[in-house]
Amino acid sequence: MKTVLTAKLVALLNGHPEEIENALQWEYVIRVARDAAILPRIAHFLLAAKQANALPKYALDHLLAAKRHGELLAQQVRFEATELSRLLPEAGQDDMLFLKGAAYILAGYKVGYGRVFADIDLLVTKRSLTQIERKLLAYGWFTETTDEYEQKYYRQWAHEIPPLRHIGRGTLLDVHHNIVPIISGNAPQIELFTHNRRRLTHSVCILSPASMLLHSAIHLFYQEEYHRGFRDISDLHLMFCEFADDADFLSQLITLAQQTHFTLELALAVRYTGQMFDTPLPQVQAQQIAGFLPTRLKLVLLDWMFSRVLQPHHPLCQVPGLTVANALALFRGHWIKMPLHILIKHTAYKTYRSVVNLIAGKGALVKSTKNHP
Amino acid sequence: MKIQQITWPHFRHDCSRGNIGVDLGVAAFRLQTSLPDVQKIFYQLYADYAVVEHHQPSDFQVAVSLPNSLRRWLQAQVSFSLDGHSPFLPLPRSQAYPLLEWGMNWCMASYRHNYLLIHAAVLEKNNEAIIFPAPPGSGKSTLCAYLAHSGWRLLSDEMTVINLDTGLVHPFVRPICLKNDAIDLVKTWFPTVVVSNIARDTAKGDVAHVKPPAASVIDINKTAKIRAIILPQYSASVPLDIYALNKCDAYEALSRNTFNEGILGIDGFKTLSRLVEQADTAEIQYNDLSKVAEFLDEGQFKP
Repeated sequence: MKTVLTAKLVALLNGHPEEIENALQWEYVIRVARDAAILPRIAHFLLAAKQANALPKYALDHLLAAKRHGELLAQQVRFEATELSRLLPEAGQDDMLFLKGAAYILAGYKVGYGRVFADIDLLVTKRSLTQIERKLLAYGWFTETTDEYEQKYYRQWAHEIPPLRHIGRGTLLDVHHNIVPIISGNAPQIELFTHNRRRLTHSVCILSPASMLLHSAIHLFYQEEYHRGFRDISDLHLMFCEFADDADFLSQLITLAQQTHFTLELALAVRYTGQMFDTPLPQVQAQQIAGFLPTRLKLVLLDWMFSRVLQPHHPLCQVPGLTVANALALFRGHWIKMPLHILIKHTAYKTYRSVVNLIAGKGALVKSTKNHP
Repeated sequence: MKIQQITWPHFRHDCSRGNIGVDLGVAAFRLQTSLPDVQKIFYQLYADYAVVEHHQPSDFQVAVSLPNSLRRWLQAQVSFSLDGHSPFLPLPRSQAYPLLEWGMNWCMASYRHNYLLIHAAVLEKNNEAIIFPAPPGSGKSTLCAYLAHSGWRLLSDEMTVINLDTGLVHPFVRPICLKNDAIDLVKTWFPTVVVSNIARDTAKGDVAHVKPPAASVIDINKTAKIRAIILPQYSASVPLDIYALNKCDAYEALSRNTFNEGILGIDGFKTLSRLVEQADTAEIQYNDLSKVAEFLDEGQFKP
């Protein structure tokens, strides 16, 4: 059920540019890839290959330009990691634990090559959160979340404090104390994820491969918006490929998923990386993980939805039914994260905001004007 | 085929459907707009440009349209988008055409990292190009419009495009953006040039765009060697004063005006420093453009 352009993107990620048929198709795959935030990753893999010079000039130009975005971000992440690791031990943290994109880059994993993202994610202990926030505020980080509702939303229900921005460099920082919202009732005992953290320098840490992959799967299947779903499922594919060389990896992964009750997310990750990328996994473990899938009817529904929302959403390659699938995913994402009474309140507030935007125009609720050209 | 060879009804039809492609040398744009005023100005100002055919790829797919809010019936606004995404908040409806031009520049500055891009005018004579980097308000565009109609070849009014390998400058010929009093001045000096309608009260004041000379558009792929970097500053009291500008200050002035030196990393720094080392550098204050033109024609930039 992959659209033509989704299949072409998969071919590019697997290093097969020869599957692009003509100049116009290059335009289309580049646009779709840019929209899915995956162009720098494709650029990295295609340009590292020997036959890179044989690419048509149109494609080469766009890939070289996109690669620069990835490289700049990687440099910024390394810089910020050094800065933060210098700052935070004073705030009662022994080390800094980086999550997601920043961690992929700092670790030097394949999944970090050309990976682009908007914010750096940190995981700290709940106990030290207040102290760390104070320390960050004192060192040039400030909150942009002035909306009272949003502030309350983060502090009461979320697993993170409102995002911080650096006043000089503009970097966005998300400080988490758990990996899923507390209000969902599914927040795991976080030590299960962090106890075997990998130390990159004496103060910079990342999750172990098993924790990292499971976190990525949870993050993806707890989302309510899948515009970047294709990029995220390709993250999982790359991690499975790289980590599965270690014989203990899959058994650790399965144990962790069982201990933290995220077996469904793991099963979905294996199922959809397989469907999208034919990700190779050993038979035995693949079967064991498939055993975590839900019953038939529920699985049919999940398959129908995820086979759509996990493909790129660009108008050039929309799968039939994507709008409905998106709406279902939006509902599901909220449903698993929030109890009903809070979901109703939240939806009411968001509806109010979109009504204001509809009547007064986008930006009517925005106080600053810095986005004007 | 050129834009002017498309008939007006055909142009309008294709433009509404997003099928007007235009070759700007270092990038190809495809335009979608149903707004009649934008269509009309674009058709006028880009008449001499080559068409990008349907089967050829374009680099940037831009659109100018009314945003989907009920406000369109009251205090209409207009928004710019690249391939379906709007990078800025909407502007008042009257600023639609300048928004398109600025949006096109934004596309380059945000994505065309195959070149070093500098916020500067650049013109050429006898295969020697001169770069005029300057912040808004320095009179750069007025100077540029004057020179472009006085025997110099216009390469760009807003964006100087430098090749990272050769150090040569690529043309990025576009309509010249005039502000406030400069609009009437240019109309008086050169009564035959085509000037768009004035968009009032933009972030830059009143704004109008001047059609670039056809000869410059024909040479849109002809690179040039950079001879000098000259920092212009309009000053009501001085006809023309020339100051020496050392290489460090010249580097800083250019670096401040680059769009993407940072993202190009070491390649950006190398390209820019080589440029500054190889070119003559000077600073001028002026109120008399004919004296500036004389000075540039003499070509003696060293103190």
